Amino acid sequence: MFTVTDYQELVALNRALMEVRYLADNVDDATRGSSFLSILHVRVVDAIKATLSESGNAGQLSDWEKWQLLENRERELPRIMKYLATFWPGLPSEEGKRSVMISMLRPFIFTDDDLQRLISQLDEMMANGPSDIDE
Amino acid sequence: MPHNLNYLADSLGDDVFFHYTDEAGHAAIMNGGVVKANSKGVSYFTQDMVSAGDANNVLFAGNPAYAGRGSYVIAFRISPDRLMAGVQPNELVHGGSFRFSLDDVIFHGENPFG
Repeated sequence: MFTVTDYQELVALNRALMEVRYLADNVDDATRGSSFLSILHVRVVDAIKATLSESGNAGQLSDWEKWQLLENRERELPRIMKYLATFWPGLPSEEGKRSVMISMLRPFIFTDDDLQRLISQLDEMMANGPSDIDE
Repeated sequence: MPHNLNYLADSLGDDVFFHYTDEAGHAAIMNGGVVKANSKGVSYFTQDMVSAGDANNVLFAGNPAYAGRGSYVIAFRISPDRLMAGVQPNELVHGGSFRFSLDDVIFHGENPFG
């Protein structure tokens, strides 16, 4: 069993996942959209928060909870939309769209309204042409 | 405007952000009036007050190539709406290079946090 419990190692893992899943250029499409990495990312952030909770560090725990809010992800969200636009028209169903959007949005915290708004936004962007999607 | 530790202590607030660097970086930034963007087109700031010894782990993911980058600190007054959330809560990102005037600097010099 491979486990990571050191706070700084977990934070470094989160940095790596943020780069690969959102910020780095020239990442293989399958890797960027991997559902396994999405689930792993959730587990890493949960582990970071659990470490802080166990050590009684309420201030830093609160900072991570704020960091997780989708409304604060000004850099990542345009990149998520740009990535999803590359295959959005080929998704066969609304359920498929929800599934890939949720996978990309995790580990950030979002509401059902956020989810529907972003799906509608992407549908509209694709209807208007991909030039509407800028970072 | 004084750029000393007492002035920093009196000026701390939500709009004070630190850039950690080394001696050469400190000189280049203060001489040039700019924190240059990196290869990703962003410059980095934090509100964490960390010692030179802790900076590598806390800010630079333990990267040995960044050893010494926390030995100097420049504290800027920056409107928070100019910065974006980074990849961890203690990292704030400015899109592009950050140009400043000396009036924006409230401290610069060797890391005062230990």
